[in-house]
Amino acid sequence: MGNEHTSAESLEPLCHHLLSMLPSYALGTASADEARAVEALLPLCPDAQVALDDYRLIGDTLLTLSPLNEAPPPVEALLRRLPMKTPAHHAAQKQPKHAVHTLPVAAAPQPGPATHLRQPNGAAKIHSAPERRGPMTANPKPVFQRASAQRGGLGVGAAVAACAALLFVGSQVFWALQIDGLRREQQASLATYTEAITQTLGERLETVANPGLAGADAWVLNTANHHRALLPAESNAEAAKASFVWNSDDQIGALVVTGLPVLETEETYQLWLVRGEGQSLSLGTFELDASGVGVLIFQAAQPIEDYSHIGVSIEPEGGTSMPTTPHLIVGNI
Amino acid sequence: MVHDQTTDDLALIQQITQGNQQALTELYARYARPVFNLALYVLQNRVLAEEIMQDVFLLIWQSPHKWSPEKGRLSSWMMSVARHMAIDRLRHEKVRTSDHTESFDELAEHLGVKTVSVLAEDTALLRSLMQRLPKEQRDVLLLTYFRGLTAAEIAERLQIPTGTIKSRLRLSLEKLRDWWHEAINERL
Repeated sequence: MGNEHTSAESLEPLCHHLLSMLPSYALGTASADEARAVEALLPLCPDAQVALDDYRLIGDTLLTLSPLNEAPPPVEALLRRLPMKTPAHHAAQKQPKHAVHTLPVAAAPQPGPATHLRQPNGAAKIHSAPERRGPMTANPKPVFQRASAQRGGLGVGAAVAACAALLFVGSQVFWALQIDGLRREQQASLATYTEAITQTLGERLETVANPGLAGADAWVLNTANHHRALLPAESNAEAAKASFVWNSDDQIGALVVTGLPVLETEETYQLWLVRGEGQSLSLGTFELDASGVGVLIFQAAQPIEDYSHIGVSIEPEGGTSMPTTPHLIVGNI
Repeated sequence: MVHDQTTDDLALIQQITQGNQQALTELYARYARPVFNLALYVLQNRVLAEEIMQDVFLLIWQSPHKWSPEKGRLSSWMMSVARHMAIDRLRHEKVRTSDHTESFDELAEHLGVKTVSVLAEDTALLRSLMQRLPKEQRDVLLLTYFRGLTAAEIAERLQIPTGTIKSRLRLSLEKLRDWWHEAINERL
């Protein structure tokens, strides 16, 4: 479909940015902001989901590299700590086999099943990229293959499990949940929202490619619930261009920016809503990826329309509660 | 065969659900060593490592339903839980480990010693691929995975820009992924 093709192309820079965040996310060390962004964008980027599955499998295998030099203590020490199991306890454990559970640890992964497909002769079958790719295709198949000749017949299960994991992760972020709902329920309003973001990204690309379209003033397009603005209306960073889009129903939105200067190690960019004299509300912090693109997915704690401007400033790593430096770029709401 | 191993593990888990301590003892005999050594490697403290290992088995005793075959091998799941518990303990108690990059030369040496046998072929392949990685990339990967350090934390320790750390981490995983595929393709 032509529209799907266009959407996929428009999402390419966003998905590229997502790929840059995947390693730390896959290994469980992403910041909260990064994790939210990854989980929100994953449903839009099938290739990133495939890469994430691969990275997690690499992580699983990395675990087996730890040395086995030391003998564990005798089992008796463990048995002494065991609480008695009561009948009620047993009953409580009889939960649906496929229920989703949360580990009692931070950011615990959902170790996926082996994705290995084994042919009758014992040779591993590899999914070629074209087989699994496609614009906005749901349920991509992991391409990373286990090497050991042990996990035959689990390919379909792996795909199903990957979908389940995708849905679970998506449910953690409202936007991802909305997109999931879009796929399954075809909600027209969400389709419009996704389209608005896609269009905005496309216009950003067009603007970047054709500076004549950038204009000096921000403009805002109002549809029923979706709004967007091109920055800067004012700028202290000459090359900076940004697109800001949000949904006024749920106050969820995204900022995509290019042309900002590279920061020092202990600095970060922070996006603000601004009104009146010095009233600012942080929408979160973001960094630039290797290609100079910065992306922030946010949910505002207050109605965005209650503010008059948006601005981006340079702040200490981790962000601040109020801007401490002048805004590099400012846009009108 | 994985079928047998997974079936055996599942049978043990079902017995543990019924409160069978002997089944837990059997599970301990199978997986205590890799779980304990993983925790020990992360925490570098035997007492804490024992606590983490026991916590993993207690978790299984109290909530055996948290693992199912759909989540992969029981051994992998247990080690993943142990890793997260250990890193959580590192952060919570601010346990100071020797996270200088030199310490990871030690793991590079360990890459050649006996490791968990259940994934021997995968382990052997990944071990060889890890040795192909440039040291600076391997260090960042290991600091991230086995110390739970963020890019910013590694950058601070190594006095290197955060972006460089992120780049090294990404490159390391991308290379491992590519090399893994190449290795599998060569076997076909």
